[in-house]
Amino acid sequence: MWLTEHRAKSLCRDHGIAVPDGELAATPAGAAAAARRLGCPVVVKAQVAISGRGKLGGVRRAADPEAADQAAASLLGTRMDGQPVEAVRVESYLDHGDEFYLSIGLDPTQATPVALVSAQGGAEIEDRAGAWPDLLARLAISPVDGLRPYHGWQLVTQARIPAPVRAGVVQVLQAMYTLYRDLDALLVEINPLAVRADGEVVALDAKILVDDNALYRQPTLAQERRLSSAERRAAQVGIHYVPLEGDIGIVGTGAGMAMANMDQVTHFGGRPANFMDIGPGILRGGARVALEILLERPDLKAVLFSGYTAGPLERVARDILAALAAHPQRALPVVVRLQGHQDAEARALLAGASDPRLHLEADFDIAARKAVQLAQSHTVPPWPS
Amino acid sequence: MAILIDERTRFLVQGITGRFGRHYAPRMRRYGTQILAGVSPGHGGEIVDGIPVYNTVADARAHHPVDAAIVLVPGPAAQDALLEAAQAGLSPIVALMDGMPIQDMVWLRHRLRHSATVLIGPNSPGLISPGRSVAGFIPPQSCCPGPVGIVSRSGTLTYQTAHLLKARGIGQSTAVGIGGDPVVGTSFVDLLQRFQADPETEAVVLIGEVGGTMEEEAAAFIRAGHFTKPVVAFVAGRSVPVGRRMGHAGALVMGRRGTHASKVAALQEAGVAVAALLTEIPSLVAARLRT
Repeated sequence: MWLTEHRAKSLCRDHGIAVPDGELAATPAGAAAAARRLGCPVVVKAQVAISGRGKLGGVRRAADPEAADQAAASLLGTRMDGQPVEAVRVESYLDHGDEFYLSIGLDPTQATPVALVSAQGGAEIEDRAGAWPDLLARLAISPVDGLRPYHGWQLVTQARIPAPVRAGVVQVLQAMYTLYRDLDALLVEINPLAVRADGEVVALDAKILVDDNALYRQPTLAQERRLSSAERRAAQVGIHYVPLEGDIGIVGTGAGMAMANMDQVTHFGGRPANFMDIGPGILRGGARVALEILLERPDLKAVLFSGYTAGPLERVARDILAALAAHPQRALPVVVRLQGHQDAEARALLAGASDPRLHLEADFDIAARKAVQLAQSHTVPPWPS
Repeated sequence: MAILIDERTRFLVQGITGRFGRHYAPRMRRYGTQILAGVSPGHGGEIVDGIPVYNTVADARAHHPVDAAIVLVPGPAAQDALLEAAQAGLSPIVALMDGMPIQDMVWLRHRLRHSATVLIGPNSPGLISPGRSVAGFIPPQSCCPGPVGIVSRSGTLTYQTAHLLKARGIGQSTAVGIGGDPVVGTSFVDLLQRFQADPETEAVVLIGEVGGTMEEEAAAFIRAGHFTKPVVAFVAGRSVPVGRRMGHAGALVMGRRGTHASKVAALQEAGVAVAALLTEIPSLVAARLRT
């Protein structure tokens, strides 16, 4: 779960990291009022969890409250990289000099947190780090010892952070590690950390990614989680749903199978409309919820429900029939290929239902090809009224 | 031979009184897996499918000569259960549950870094040595004994691959699902080392996914000459749009690795035959087996 910049900055401030004063606004008038209270100039920033927000025009400077009103009006209600802009953060604009990059993230291979520091922060940090690897200081952190002051000094020295601000940056690094640990984060990133004329360091942007598996022990954050209604229904039965732009619905009995189904459909010339993994939810009716979510999407032309599982396929077959029965008017072809535990029973159940929307296949490739053909010809079988 | 488990491996099942434990423990036993005991705190004294249940691993060990653990506890309880099994000296420990907090696993890997314990998973479908033993969810009917090892990040693609090979008359020595979480206990490289040493294994099928760098590390290991048997690979997720990349740390930690293209290129440079479709795997394997 990505926290919004506004939320991440309030957590930073609670942990002693300086951030510009700012307020959240959901309307242009609210943004103008915030600008008046904060004093101009301000920066109006779209609160969407995407990368490259600045380049996409999601960050606007405003010289007065009217300009803040206009900036908010041009951002609110739009979508950036598929994400709806529902709020903006209005923030005091701060003059500053150097910009640094700091992060605490995860190295999955070494299975350790890893701290990164660069004296050359900003939007193009990966490119600069690729070109001048010396500019980036990197240190694996022991999850038992944590990030100690000496680790911080090692990092700021190696990254050639200017001497007068080193102590301040070390304090920020320690606070970031505390956030990382206490929030069950997978990433805490400040880019840039800006140096003011008086030597104070201020976080101008902050990104925090929290581990979804740990939300059960982060109740405050869990309450703030915002999901679409389809995503919420999926999450309630333990299945994973990611909507995409294509027209062929995908259901797989595991994450790998769901991806392989998407790959197959793409290979045969179709466009997958989503990622859907029902593996963890099979015993909880996940197959029914998955298919209902797809049947309710008006933009689909076919569904490929293809999998191999040790879970009870009889249950899956009953769930498929229940989903179809709940949407008798939706004339959407559904190609089903099921293999594994109880596959003969599942096939018999599905064949016995003689629903003209169901297309039973036995072969992995042929099922995917069939779904693509059905979507392309879009010959929907007539449904008796 | 086979690797990690065979008909002599004696297991206990942690979390045996839960929904998954009650469902899968009897199925594994019917296949021939030796399950001598179960562990569920608060359920000591109960019996599941004829298997005696204890409150702690130590208690179970005092009564039964067990070597290894199958772990089916929920994610929030996973770190405790895995540490308990490791401290009792059990190995391999097969962690099947999903939903384990990643920092719990990071801490555990650190804690076990000098230990000889083999930890498979978490979020693993388990492993099977066909005809001998199954530990986890892999449907035994998808497999048959033979010369091909399978290592996979995906459970269902493990079953599907075994099934495709079996339909072609090619059996497996051992098939291992290493788990779908970002941090797991056993990597592709760890398993390639074991398959290299296993005389029964003539070739390996490697099923990767986009994300992480485990496929690239396996490719480097093969390229350096540490694994000399034929390898056929498939990397799922070619059509998956690059996730909403947020922050820069991922790219800074991983460099340009982790994409479908980088994995396929690294594997091909190491001499691995990469299948564009899963269904191409059996013929690529058949062409590389001694006849």
